[in-house]
Amino acid sequence: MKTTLKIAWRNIWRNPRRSWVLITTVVVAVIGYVGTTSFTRGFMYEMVNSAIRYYGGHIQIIPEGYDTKPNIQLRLSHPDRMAEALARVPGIHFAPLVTFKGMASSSEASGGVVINGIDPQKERQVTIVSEKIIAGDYFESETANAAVIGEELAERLNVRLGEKIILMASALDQNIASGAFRVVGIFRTVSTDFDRAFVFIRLDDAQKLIGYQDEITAFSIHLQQGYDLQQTVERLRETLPPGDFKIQTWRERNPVLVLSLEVYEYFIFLFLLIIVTAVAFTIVNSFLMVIYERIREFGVMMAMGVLPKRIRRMLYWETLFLTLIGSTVGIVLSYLIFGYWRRHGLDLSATSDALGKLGISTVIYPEILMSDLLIGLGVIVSLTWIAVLYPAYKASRFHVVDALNFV
Amino acid sequence: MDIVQVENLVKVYEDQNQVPVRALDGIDLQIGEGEFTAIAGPSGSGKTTLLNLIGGLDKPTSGSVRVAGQDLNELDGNALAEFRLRNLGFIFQAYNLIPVLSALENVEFILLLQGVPEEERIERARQELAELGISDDMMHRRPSELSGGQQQRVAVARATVARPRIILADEPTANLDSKTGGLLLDKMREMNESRGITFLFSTHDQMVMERARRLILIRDGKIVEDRQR
Ligand SMILES: Nc1ncnc2c1ncn2[C@@H]1O[C@H](COP(=O)(O)OP(=O)(O)OP(=O)(O)O)[C@@H](O)[C@H]1O
Ligand SMILES: [Mg+2]
Repeated sequence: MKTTLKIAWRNIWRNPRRSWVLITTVVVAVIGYVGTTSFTRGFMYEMVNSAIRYYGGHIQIIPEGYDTKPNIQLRLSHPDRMAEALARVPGIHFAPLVTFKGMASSSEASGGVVINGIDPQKERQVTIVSEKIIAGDYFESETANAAVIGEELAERLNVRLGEKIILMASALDQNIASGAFRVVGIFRTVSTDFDRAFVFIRLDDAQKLIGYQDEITAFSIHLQQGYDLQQTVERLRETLPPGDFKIQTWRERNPVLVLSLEVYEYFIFLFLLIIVTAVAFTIVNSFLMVIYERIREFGVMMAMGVLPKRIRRMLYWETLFLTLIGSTVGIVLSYLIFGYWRRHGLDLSATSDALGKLGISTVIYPEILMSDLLIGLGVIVSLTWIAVLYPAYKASRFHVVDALNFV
Repeated sequence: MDIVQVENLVKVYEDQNQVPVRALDGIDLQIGEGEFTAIAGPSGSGKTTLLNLIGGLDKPTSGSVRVAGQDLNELDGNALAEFRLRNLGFIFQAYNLIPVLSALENVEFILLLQGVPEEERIERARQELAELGISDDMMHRRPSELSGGQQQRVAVARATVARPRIILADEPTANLDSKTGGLLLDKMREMNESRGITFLFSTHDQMVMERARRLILIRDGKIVEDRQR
């Protein structure tokens, strides 16, 4: 074993140029893989983050049936009792929400919007719209009937800070209710759609508008770092008093997003297979050359009594060393290359318009996951091993006499 | 007892045009323990073919080879490799050594294959190399850093260290100048005399024939003369 390893290792350095070419091939493949994977991961992370952090949090408690047919008749009664129970669940922040469709208009224009009644103090702990204020503030002043709207909507309605808008919606009693609200804050998120459609007002204003007492539409829950989604769902199920509600995770809320995450997962793996297959072909090629250069040597070894399987094993080790060197160098270089963006993020403002439409941040932080590295390493090692099987098989099948006569 | 018993050995090759070539044409031969024998003959007479068959590197068309009582026809694949490892030593014309191993490691390697423990391996390999006049300094060089004569002495050490029943040497001096070749042969003859190691050479080198104690002449795959000297 030790000697087999020794011979394999030294054989690599017999033709350093060829070995470095092979190692470089592996290095390039690894960097390509780590780059693609980490940026895709960063992108996926941003997509999920947007879905969670702008609206609704990780988990929502909604009325039974609301997810399939949302309407204001469906609401959570006795939210105070639920809030008491929620306060006992560790690792979460929660905020009440009243949400319904409506219309926003100014003297110049109008448009359909989603009106959201929130408790600003609590909402800050769950979503990050409060951090995206570009003018005014997030319900900090005492102004009555205050509204915080997106930049896009403000432009459409042509309203400025301090000006009034009218919000209209159908109330519980089927009548059209309306109220005048003063714009106290304007936000800009990464999503222009969000900035056009979402209007925030105080919770009690919203309740008053559509005729709720203390009922709400939902609780939005933010999960603190290190707490598991499914475990928390279980916890909530145990803790909350029984009632007509449903616990919905962000995954259930965003089936299309979850689907695309899966597609990205496949894409990463497919990409890995493609580049490693390219590496594998280079290895087959080189090793076919290698064995023809060493035929005589194999002949001498076999004459001495070295078994073919030992010769094959020497070649396996030789490729393993090459791929391990290449992978190590590749991973180190990847950290050096992508590490900078990992800390500072890569600003894709040039293409930000498209991303903004998708509701994804324009700054991507590539994420290098240990699991991705291990999978990559596993695939490289196994595919290159498969690649060398054929040359190794050929090497071990030479007839001793022919090998000895080979010049 | 005879170490090698060859009976009615025939080897037929086909050349490029599928025409059969009788490289060996009914050879009968016995080699006894402790012999120092050379097989001589013109080029193409079948010397290498005969040695390869005795060494179990190739299969005869018909006839049999027994080495140390074992019929080589009965062995195949791994069993034959194992048999070579324990009973046969080989020295070829050139490029005998594994290029990436030092002289010492080359000699050790065969002992490793035989399963000899590490300490004994190093001890025996050093001793053998020293006996063949390879200095401590040279032992750690790779074959490419040794002269042709030194390389052949390492090859002899590798063959003898394994304590085979017989060493088959196919023109071991053909690539050496006559002085180096002569010294190498003297060394082998000395080992034959002091340790009773059996050598079988193939050659058309006059020097080898002179030193051999038994000379077998073959022509067209047949033994034409066999004399003790
Ligand atoms: N693999 C082979 N295929 C076809 N013919 C072969 C093969 N090996 C040897 N021969 C033929 O068999 C005959 C004997 O060859 P062999 O190599 O045994 O001769 P030799 O006595 O060793 O010659 P030399 O002194 O040149 O080494 C020659 O005619 C040769 O051409
Ligand atoms: Mg020959």
